[in-house]
Amino acid sequence: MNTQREKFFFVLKILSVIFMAFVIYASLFIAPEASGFVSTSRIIFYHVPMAWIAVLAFLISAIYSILYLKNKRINHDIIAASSAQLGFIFSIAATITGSIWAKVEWGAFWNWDPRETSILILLLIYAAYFSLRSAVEQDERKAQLSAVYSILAFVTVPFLIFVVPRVIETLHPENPVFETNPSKKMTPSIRMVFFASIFAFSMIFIWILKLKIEVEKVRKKISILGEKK
Amino acid sequence: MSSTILLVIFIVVWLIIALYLFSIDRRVRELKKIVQLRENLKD
Repeated sequence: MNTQREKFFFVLKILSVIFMAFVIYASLFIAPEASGFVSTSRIIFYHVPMAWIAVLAFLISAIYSILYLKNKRINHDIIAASSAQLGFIFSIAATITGSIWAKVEWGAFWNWDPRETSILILLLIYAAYFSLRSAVEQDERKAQLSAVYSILAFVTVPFLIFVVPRVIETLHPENPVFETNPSKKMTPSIRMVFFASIFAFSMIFIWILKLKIEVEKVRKKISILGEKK
Repeated sequence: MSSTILLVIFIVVWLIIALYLFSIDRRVRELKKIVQLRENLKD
């Protein structure tokens, strides 16, 4: 069982290295420029997967927070916190790549567009989650409070990411996956690179999440061993 | 900036990140073994 798991993660690591290298090459040489944009449109292969992974990470955090409240297993709290941290990092990366694109297309790194404002609010909500975790010392209390907060924080995610930018007028382009206008739809080669990128980023996310969880578990064990001394 | 230069920069950055992840992976595995040994010694 353990060796099978090890084998799975070994394959995942190798595949993520190969796939990401392919995505880098394909985004520059295989995918053509999207219609109506200069070559900055290629940022879609990095920016959108990062944003999607951030949402996935916050979702995992909320699910494990619910599981923690149900089972009171500290491992669930570790997974929830690790996933939220990764979601936060991927959100920052998505914001930075978005700002680079905005500078070229809209003329400024930050324009207070609804999409930019909603991601900023989301970052602040999750920054408060980490503040809460660092403010409480007792492990069980920390896990309980942050689990409740993580669930409440995730309620805002679909609203801030999917609803607000569609309700308020925005300069941000429509997500190409859900694009209904045939002239703006992705060409087959762009679609292929785009989904390869989503796959590569997902594997990297799983790899880093596994590492983060293992580091936290070892840290916990060391602190327990230290207390026993 | 030409696509070839960008390709080289991106690939090098990605390889550095991947190597860093592999090294953390190895260190965590070693640390887990040490912690396991210490736990066995305590028992």
